[in-house]
Amino acid sequence: MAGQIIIGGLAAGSLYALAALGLILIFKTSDIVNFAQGEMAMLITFISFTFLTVTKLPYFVSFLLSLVIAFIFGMAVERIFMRPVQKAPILNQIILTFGLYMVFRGVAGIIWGYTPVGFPEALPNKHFNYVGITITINQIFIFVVTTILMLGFYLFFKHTKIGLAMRASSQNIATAKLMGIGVSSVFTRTWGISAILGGIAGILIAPVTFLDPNMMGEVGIKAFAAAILGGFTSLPGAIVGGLLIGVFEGLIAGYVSSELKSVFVFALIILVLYVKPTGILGEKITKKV
Amino acid sequence: MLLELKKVTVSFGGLTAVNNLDLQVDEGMIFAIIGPNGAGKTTILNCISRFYTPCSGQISFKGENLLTKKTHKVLASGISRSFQNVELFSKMTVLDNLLVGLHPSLKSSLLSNAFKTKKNKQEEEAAKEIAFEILELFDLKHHANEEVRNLPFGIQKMIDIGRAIISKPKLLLLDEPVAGMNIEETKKNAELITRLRDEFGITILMIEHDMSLVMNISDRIAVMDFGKKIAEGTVTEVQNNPKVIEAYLGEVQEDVGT
Amino acid sequence: MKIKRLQILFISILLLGYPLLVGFSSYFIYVAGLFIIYAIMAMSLNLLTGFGGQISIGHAAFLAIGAYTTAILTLKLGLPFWLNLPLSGVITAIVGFLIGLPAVRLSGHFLAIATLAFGLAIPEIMLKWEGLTGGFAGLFIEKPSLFSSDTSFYYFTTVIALIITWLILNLLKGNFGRAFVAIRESEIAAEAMGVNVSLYKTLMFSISAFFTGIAGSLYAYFVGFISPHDFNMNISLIVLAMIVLGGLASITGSILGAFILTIIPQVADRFPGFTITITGAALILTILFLPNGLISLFNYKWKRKKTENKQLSLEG
Repeated sequence: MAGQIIIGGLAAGSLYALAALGLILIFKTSDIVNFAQGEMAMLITFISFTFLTVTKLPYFVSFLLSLVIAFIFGMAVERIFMRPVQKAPILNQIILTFGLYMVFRGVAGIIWGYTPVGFPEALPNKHFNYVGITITINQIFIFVVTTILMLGFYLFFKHTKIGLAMRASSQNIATAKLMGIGVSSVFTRTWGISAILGGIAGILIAPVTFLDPNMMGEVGIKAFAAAILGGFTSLPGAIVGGLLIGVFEGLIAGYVSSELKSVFVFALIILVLYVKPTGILGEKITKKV
Repeated sequence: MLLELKKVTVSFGGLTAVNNLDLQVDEGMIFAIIGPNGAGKTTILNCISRFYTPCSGQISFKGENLLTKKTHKVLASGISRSFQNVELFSKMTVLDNLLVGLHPSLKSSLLSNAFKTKKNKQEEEAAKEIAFEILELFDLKHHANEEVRNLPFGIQKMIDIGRAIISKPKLLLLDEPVAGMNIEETKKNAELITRLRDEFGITILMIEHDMSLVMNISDRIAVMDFGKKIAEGTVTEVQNNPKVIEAYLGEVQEDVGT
Repeated sequence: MKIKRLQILFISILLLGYPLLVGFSSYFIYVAGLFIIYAIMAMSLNLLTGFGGQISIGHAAFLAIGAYTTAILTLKLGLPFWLNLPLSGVITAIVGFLIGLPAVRLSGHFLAIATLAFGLAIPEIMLKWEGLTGGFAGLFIEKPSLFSSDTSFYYFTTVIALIITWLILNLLKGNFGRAFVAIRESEIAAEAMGVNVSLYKTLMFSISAFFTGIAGSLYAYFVGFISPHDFNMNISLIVLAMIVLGGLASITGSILGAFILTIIPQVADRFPGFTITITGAALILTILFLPNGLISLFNYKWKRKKTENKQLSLEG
């Protein structure tokens, strides 16, 4: 049973890791925590669903098309809403992203209603048995997508000009500006990329959660848990954190109570913040007097 | 001896900001610490006001060990400070800023505050009176009810000092009290600092880059370079110390001349 | 200060005369009572967030704890109303203190995440803990015999709200209020001025939770039925929107915000998704275009008028 739980946990955890990665990218470059990340992902999942059902596009075409829209959507949100509060107090920034959270959720409800609908899996359902553990082809698909994305990100940051600019901006905005990096356009693109990551997580998790405006409520908070566990400043931390949260939640559901699994994740968040705010792999932030 | 630092060392990561520093400040003097940027001056103030804890060494005030005290207990023991870039409460009025400086001496309880008891009212009135005395001293009475953020930097610097002395400390730490001020304001502040020593009996430990101010009002000067004290003495002693001239004064001599 | 007093005097007269105005219509009294309860909660949250600078995204959880304390003490222990009301405040304050403890080490975004997790966890725990809370089915509470009608309990709620307003205003004016605002403005300077920042942060959480707990107790009696769903994330966000829309760090602003955002759902709830969209849009627009909230419009006009009058009298 434990092996089965771990496989399921790792699959869910990979998706939390993707969403967490999106959160951390934004936090690292612009010092903003995007509380609307999950709701943005939910909207993108709905858009993908519309492509699938209304225009009857094939799965992978609508998948890719909605990711293109995600990129534009993420950039638009940054340009229209976040740019004006870039220098405002943190409190205002937090409140603004919660405002977006509410509007996105409400608008999705108005357009698509609140009845949960099924969302198709990426690949036709098939599963394999190996030493008593069942693994589905979709879980394998999730692992493959996550791994490719992580590798892609690694190469992107290491070897491309934009990646370098993003890293520089996350270290020191003032210096990055002096070096001639267009910090604002880096911010904008970061939001676009982060929306893509959230979108992928949303589309891949929708078959499990079903699709409705509240679908990302729980997933979103687990992405936060993953990010916090990983230290909120570390990209590998997000991955480790996501996988751990996925397995942790699976174990709680399996051995304690499936209804209380979220409560345990919430408690874990508070505990980590209380005991070790820098998480497993985070950097220490020192207060300057 | 009022304040004594013994073999104090502070380091951040691998970087040693203050190295094996000995310092003694006697009561009633204006003691200046000078030195180029990054010499570790502000770090010393931050250790005395307990924002930092040195990795080794001792700091004692009035013979008591200061290092066992928590940051918020420092003021009550008689040490107050101003900040380099005025850390004022910018959306509060000038009066309220000063009143926060009296925080440790206001004793009325939460309930007595909430129900506005007679005792609480009297305490508040008394506190306001003290605040107005300070405003009078600084000639800032007409600004009492203005929000600090709407006032010019020079005035903010004075409020910062006012907030630091309202609790009548024994020792006042000033972190660049005239930085960013014009000649007129600098002169006014120099007068004020000497008055604080002479009339209020406050001992002053200050960091300052303005050499004319330092040379004019200090009783004793310590010179820092790369975390180490390279010289200490009276104004003339320091001015004639070849080490100082080489390390520090040489580069700003033109400034002093003008 | 004078403007604030006049505004509050005006509001209290209006509230006390209100049942007469609406001919004791039970629906209108229900909405007004709800407004008053939310106003208490908004003021408490504003004390913490607007004045103290400590964000809380899970404040509905405190409301829930206050409401459930009252319901459980009434139903399981049969305690009387005059004991339940303060006890609900005290127990919520204790929880607030415990939540405030980690808050000492967290700031900004991370405090938001921690309180968000707290706000999500409490309703889920209540849902699961059926033996105590009745789970999904909720609990029914009767009004105390002394104020058994809607109108009389409405009046009772109004009086409690006025007392709480007075207490909060007093607190803010004194040494504690100054220390709270000082922490918001600069923790470093506050610490240097002898404010025990950690202690005062937990204190802020406790005080805010205490009054919210009282609001929760009033809610349980006034509405007569509570279930975990009444205290979900949306309520926390709507109360946050109340203080932002009305005005951060303004007591009258909290009341104004509570008024507007209690009325809007009464109309908009008929269309699913509209309440949350409108509230969210109000949040965004306020932050972008009027960061000091609607109340700043009133106060600004008032101030300008006053200076104009002064000039006139000088010229005269």
